[in-house]
Amino acid sequence: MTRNLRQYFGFFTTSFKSLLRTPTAWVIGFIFPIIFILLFGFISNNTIIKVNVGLLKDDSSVYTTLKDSLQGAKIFNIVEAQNYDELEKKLQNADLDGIVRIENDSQITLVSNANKPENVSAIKESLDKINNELTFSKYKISQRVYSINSSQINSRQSRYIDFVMPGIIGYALMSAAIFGVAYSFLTLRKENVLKRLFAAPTNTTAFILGQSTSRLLFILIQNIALVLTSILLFNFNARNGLAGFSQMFVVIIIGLLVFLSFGYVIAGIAKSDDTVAPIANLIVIPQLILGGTFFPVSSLPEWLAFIAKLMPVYSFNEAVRKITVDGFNLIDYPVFSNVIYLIMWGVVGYFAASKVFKIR
Amino acid sequence: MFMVSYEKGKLSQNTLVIRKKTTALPPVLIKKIPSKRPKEERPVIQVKNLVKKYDDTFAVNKISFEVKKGEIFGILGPNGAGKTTTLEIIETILSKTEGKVLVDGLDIDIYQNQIKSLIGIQLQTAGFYPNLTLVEQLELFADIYNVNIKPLAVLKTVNLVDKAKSRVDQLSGGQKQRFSIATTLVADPTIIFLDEPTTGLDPQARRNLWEMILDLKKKGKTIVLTTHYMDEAEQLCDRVAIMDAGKILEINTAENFIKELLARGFKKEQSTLGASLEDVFLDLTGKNWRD
Repeated sequence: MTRNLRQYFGFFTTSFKSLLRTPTAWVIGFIFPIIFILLFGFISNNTIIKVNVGLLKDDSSVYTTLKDSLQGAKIFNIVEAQNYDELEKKLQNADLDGIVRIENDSQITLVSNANKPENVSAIKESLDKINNELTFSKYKISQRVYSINSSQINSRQSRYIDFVMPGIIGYALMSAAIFGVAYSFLTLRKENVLKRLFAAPTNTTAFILGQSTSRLLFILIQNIALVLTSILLFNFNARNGLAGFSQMFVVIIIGLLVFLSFGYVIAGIAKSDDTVAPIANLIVIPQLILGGTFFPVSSLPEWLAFIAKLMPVYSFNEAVRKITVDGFNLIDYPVFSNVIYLIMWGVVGYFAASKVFKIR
Repeated sequence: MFMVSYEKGKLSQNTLVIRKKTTALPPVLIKKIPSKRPKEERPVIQVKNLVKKYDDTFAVNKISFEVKKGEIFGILGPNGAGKTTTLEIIETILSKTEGKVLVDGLDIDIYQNQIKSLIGIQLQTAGFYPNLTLVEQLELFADIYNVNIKPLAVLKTVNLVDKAKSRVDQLSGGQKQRFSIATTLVADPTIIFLDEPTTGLDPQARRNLWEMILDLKKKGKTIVLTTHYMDEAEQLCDRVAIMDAGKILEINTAENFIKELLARGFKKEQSTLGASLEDVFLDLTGKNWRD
């Protein structure tokens, strides 16, 4: 036991030192994400995040006018539904900023998220404008503020950097974990390092655990550095402050464990350098583009959004944003459900890795 | 304006079952396999009818030999003769198809980890962990073998102290080979395997490596080496097995091999000179390490 423990610490420190001295590990896990943060941080102040509006379907002509006008404003992402409860659930999970419904043929009601006053006022402004244009003067607009049982109401404007930071963290840890594991194992195998190590009485478990935990720590440190940079440069903020940040890092560790398993699967499948890159990119790039890294999944066409929502990085991004942007806690359904989904991906990943990954 | 609150959604409890993977461990070593012969006389390595088959080709075809304690045993043969395959099977790196192999009385089928702790292995194609200094590499091997070493003292035995802070990829061919041997010495093994230790080295490096190998023999180590250089086998080996196409043709001392050949009436065209070009080369360039 002590022998295996000593081997574990030996491999942990060896692999950690080696990672610190590997330039590509820094480029993938730190330099690229920093470039993204700088890019998006400097352009973010003028960028409008779409406001999510739920519309309760109705066959009146007023509804059509209403929908057309909202769509015309271009800042709204419109979600239509027949059923009010469905919309209300989305509002509760902060997937919507407000619900607009026509009541009794005489009234337009706005039910809104109290945590997003800036988004709500955008909806309200548009409704006022529509009301002026409507020939049916009998319609009146009433507003109801829907208070979400999460954090205290924070009137701070939510900015693009606050939206994009969780996405960039997701991208950074996903690519660092997947590319890092896949390439390093392939190199160790190809350069006969594994052959030499396992010619000695090396314990396989101690070796793999030492490798994995050192990489986990290394990427975690990179992520902390990324978050600190974005706080210092762009005043990136999480709702609930330190509590929000620490819960974010719990999700980060879970996400890392999940994506490490994907790396082992690729290291098991790919037999050469030439096959690592295509396979890893096949997993990373679609998630980077569609998984809600740089823009919300809700702005995708419905069928594409459906695919995007199956991706593990989407659940990761959602879970983190529900914490940092919307102020939910880990135990709240909107966070918890995404974390569970992410863990399910991890179970699949480690099962597949146990089938295809071989040390030699 | 009025407020509506909502109940937190309840999530059904998911249960994740993680199955513990059980790996078959070799039985704990209680006592060594009894041998009829007393320990001192028992061969350190016993190979009997060893076969290694890849698809239809025999890499090693029913070979048998024994290595005595404290000798340097050479396996001599052209490329593709099966030397490395034989060595790697004894080292428990490769699996065998048939036959029986005992290392210090331990069966390689059962006591792989015990054997690995007893032997030092220098592989023909070994790689080392990237981005580490030589000292850090040796510390890792000390952790693997669970022994305490002074890395600099180990490097001193292979004359690499001044490279202690270098990385393996900064070493020359000869230095790499010496470092590779240094890693085999970490656990102070009783048996050392050297797979073509001098291939690709310059004459100075070869001769100095030979001295190192003879020093190890003086320290009581048993050494098994492969080579395709005849002079190397003649200089170093107490006994030589000549191998070709997966078979051992004959085993004898170098001296007896030559005597037998001469006895069969063989005559070589005699060199009228008392020295070779290599002697001239070494005379001009000196015998010191060049790297």
